[in-house]
Amino acid sequence: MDRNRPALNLLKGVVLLAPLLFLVVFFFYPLLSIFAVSLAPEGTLDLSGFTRIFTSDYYRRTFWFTFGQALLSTALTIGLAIPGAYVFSRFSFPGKSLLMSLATLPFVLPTVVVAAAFSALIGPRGLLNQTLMSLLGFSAPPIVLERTLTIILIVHVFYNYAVALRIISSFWANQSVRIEEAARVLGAHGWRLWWNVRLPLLRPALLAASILVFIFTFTSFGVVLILGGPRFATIEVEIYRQVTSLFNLQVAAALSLVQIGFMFVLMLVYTRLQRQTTTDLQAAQSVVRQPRTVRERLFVAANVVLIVLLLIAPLAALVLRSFTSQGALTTQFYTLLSSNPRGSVLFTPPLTAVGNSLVFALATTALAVTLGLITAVLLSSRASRLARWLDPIFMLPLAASAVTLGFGYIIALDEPPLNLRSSPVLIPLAHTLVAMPFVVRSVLPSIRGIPPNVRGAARSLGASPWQVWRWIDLPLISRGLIVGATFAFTVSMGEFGASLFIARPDTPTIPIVIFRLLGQPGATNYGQAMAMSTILMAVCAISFVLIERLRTAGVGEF
Amino acid sequence: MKHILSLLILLLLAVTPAAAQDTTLTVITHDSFSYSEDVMQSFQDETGITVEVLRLGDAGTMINQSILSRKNPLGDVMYGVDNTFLSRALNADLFIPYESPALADVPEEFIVDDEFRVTPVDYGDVCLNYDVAYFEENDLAVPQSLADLTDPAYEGLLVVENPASSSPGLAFLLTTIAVFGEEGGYTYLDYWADLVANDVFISDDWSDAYYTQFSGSTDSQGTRPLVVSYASSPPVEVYFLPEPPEAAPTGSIVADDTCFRQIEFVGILQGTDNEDAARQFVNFLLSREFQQDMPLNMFVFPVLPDAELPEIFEEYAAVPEQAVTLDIDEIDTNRERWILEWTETVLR
Amino acid sequence: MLTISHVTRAFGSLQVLRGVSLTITDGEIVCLLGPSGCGKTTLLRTIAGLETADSGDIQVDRQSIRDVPIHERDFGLMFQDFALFPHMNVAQNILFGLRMRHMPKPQAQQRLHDVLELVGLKGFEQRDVAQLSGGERQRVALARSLAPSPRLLMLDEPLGSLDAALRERLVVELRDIIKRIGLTAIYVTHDQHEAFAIADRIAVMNAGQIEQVEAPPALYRQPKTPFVARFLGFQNIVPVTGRIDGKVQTPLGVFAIRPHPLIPSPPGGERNFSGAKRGEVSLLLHPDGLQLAAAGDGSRITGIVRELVFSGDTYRVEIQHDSGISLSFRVPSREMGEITVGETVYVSVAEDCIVPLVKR
Repeated sequence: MDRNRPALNLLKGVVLLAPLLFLVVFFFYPLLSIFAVSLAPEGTLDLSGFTRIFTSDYYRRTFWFTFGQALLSTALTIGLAIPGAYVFSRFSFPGKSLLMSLATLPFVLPTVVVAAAFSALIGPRGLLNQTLMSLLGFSAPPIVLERTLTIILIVHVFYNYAVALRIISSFWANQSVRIEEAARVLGAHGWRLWWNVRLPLLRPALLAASILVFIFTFTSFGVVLILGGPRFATIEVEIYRQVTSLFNLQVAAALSLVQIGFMFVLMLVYTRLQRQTTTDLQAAQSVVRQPRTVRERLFVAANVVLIVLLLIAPLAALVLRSFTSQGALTTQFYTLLSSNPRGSVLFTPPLTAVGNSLVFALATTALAVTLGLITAVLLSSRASRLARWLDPIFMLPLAASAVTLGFGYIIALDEPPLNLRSSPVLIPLAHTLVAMPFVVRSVLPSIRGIPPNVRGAARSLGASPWQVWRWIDLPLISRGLIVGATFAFTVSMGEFGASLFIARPDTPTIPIVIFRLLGQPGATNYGQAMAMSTILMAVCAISFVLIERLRTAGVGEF
Repeated sequence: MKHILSLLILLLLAVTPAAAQDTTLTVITHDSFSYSEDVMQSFQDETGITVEVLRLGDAGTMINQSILSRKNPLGDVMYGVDNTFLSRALNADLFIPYESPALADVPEEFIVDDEFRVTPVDYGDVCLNYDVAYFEENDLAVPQSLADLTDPAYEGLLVVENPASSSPGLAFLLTTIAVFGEEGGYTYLDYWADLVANDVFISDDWSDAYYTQFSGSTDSQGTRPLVVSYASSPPVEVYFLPEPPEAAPTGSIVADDTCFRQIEFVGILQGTDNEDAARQFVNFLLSREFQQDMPLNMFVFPVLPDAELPEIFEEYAAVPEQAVTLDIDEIDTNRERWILEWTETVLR
Repeated sequence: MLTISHVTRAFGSLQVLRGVSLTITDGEIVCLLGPSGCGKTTLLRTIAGLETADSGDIQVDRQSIRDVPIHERDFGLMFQDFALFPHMNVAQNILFGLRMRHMPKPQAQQRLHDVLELVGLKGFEQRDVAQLSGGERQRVALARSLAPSPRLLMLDEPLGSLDAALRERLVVELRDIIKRIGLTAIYVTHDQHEAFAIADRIAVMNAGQIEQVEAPPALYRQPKTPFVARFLGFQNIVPVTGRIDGKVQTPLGVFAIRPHPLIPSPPGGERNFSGAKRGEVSLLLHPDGLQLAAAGDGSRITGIVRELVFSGDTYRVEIQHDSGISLSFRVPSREMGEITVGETVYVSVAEDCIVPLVKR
């Protein structure tokens, strides 16, 4: 229809294909290369890896464990998040938004830090056990959770509670309270109100949240490897062990393919569900009020206490540890971070990692937001039937193990201009792969939520396609875009698995420095690791605030 | 304009030959590679070679990455492959043979590959370490054989690393295989079953085992006085203490058939354009200067018998008279099966 | 001003527009009336440029606008859901079109003031659109599409989401505003009363085609097809079974009809329906021309009263003829006598209210 259609369409095509191209070059090509080498080392296809993983009891147990722990973790997370989501979508109380922000912090923390945080709280020498031992006179630590399924489940809830909380509460907040009122008039109350009205109404959100949490816990790596100890292995952990210590690429590739295939099915379901949970931007009507009755107050209080205990206490214990040395308050661990003592395992002063991480995270954010935005636009066009299949494909990087991909890079990206094997550029590229799905998932609902005729109205008022995008789409999706950018930034800040593999010793990121410090003996290294973790949390928290500012000052005010 | 152009050409001419002489040698190694700055500097000054060190994770990861990238290698030389991984690297045809003249002084036992594709540089013995104070306070005899460890007297005292994820863990598993074998009335798996019955603790990596679970390391709040570590660990403990103690707080058990010898090698990578510089680097690693610098940087023993050991090594380190070794091909063929069998027996 | 010729459009295998032609003159309000799915909205969107025609042409002042992008067509468009920009206040919404045209600020402010006055929303400039009532939103949407002075205003069921009472009031107001500015407008609706009230001419659409274009009174009096008659709510449609001496035969009896182009009075041919096939012709007995009559009057129909519904000024009477055909009509309350359900009555039919219908 436009006069300069051919040129414009070509440009549009190139832009729209950019994310796909990125995914192909930095995800599918390396992945397929490593699979090719693994499954056809001599040029002929050898599928014995599959036979082995499906016939051996060992791998069968790994499958069952992976599945079972993910199911349990999901059930626990969703079960705890439902009452929390009710509180967040129906009541207002002091400190609500702060609590929500704090609840999101775990998401950015690398597993090493979380492991340290939990051992600082409930480990054998943690705050809780020490307090209990001195108060009640136990001779041995009463809480023994190290290397148990329980600790794995607790930490999975810790990581995913906020994710489930956000999905469910935002869906709930957009639902008409009238339905519930009608049900009350018809005599539903108490648990019947929950069971017959609230939960069925929530089903799309509950399913979406469950599948997402299931995906995250199914592919859980660090939590199981570090906190679970050698006795537990998810498929992801097994892939890591097979690749790094046994160099058994056949089995690793077979496991990877099984995992990716299974995840793809889940992601397909998830992305379809997300279309249903999309809410109209205009429909949102606030029904939030203060808790009135004693019961309501107790209900709110109980959920706040849960969040504080589960999510904030471990983080607080970690901060406390970073400022304590032998029972006294100190800042020595922080001052030590700027030095690089001789014989240290770190090749640079730990503090330079903060700069590295920030640079990588900013680059990742820029790249992931640009590509994610284009992807979301591509996926939201209803004409494209391809979108239904493309959508889950863009989520696949979440299902591929970092080690597999890392090896893929080594064999695939070895020729100029893509000889990036030992380049630090690879870090933001790898982070972008993981961050992009979060951007797409945050932006897509707001693009889909734009009332259909609004763009047409703008066009008819004389706005060119570009102007419609600039003045209508962009402001309307800015909220989702900001959320996506925040996710991208924090995912990059906290990313550990791929960084460990790719990052060179002279350009370490914060999580890698924490990991190295924790691997070293002595209270000083441990204290420095805690200090570094605190810095990571602080940097992320400050970024949250800054990005919020940016929104109210600029993008949101069109 | 013309002046600038000719000036540029002059500059180019001035720069180019210097750049050609200035060879850069990329050394692929593991994260533990460490050296004294002045030693490396003098090598670079003498030869005009610039050495770039590329650390690729632990030894296993380094070798795996190098095998995958062998068509287009990431560097010229690889240092740090040990005898548990050696045949994997040799089978992948990673190295160009080179018989260094310095090998003449190296004892025969270290020269594993008779085609000289790799050159031995250092060795370390994976041995049981014990917390001296614990055994004295409890008036307990230090175990003197692997079999002793299944004695109820040592119940709940031992920490070992997971052989699937830790190099000393694998070495210790190999020791048990060498000692008890796979056949007969009492196999290595029977032995491990007895260890489990005697409450052995499995750590995923050495630092967790040594620094967190083992009671003898500095600042440790661990509870187990026996750990699988290195024969060089006791001097390391002393090295990091502010004042040298009268006796080391830990000791290593060097009785026959309890230790496994790990030898680290260097090799010139196929596909290098700097074979000559690489040879010079191999010779440098076998030089007295480097050999004597190694112990305190990486806590390993030099292969050159006449290299002087630091004082604390002389004083606190024990060297086993008869360490266990296994044929590198046997290790490579059976590694995965052994680890899986071990996992089935010990972890499930 | 606007000429639509032979426009077709298909979505997949579904033919939504099957060759639509329509001419609209300057200053005219034309209403596209039809049930949902008839293609009226697609036609509107095609004129606006939101959809592309598969074939056919649309011209404005004899210039084809096929290749003119939407934002350069200079048409105003108002949607059923109003499509107000949720992130802008009232003034920003209305100023949007002016900003896109780079109108200088003072001029734009003046225009904002004028259109707000026109739609009766003075003082609403800074209001958030989310806080407005339905009627207010409708006015903002109207003001927004009027502000850039479009050459053609298109309204897609603009009152569809409002309640009946408000709709009745606003439709008059809307016509008044459009006429005051002298705008040419196309108005899409499925509500005949709305169409009657606002349109100069009504184009009734069915299955992607225009069935009839007529001024509202003529359309009401003389629907041409059974579809139009039914869509306008008329039920008294009887099949024509044959012709006798220039009259038509129906199960209800024989009726004289006025000349009809598709049903020529044949001099001799008894069963000649040239142009229209047998079965495609029927008669509408317009309810306005049905009256209760005494026995023995002229053209009259005998039937049994089936239903009597009182609605204030009139009764609705439904009678059933022996053939099973029902007729319904209204009788002024004060003329109703003592009639009860089940009684046999006589109904007379005014000759000018016998309307021949021919299927398209």
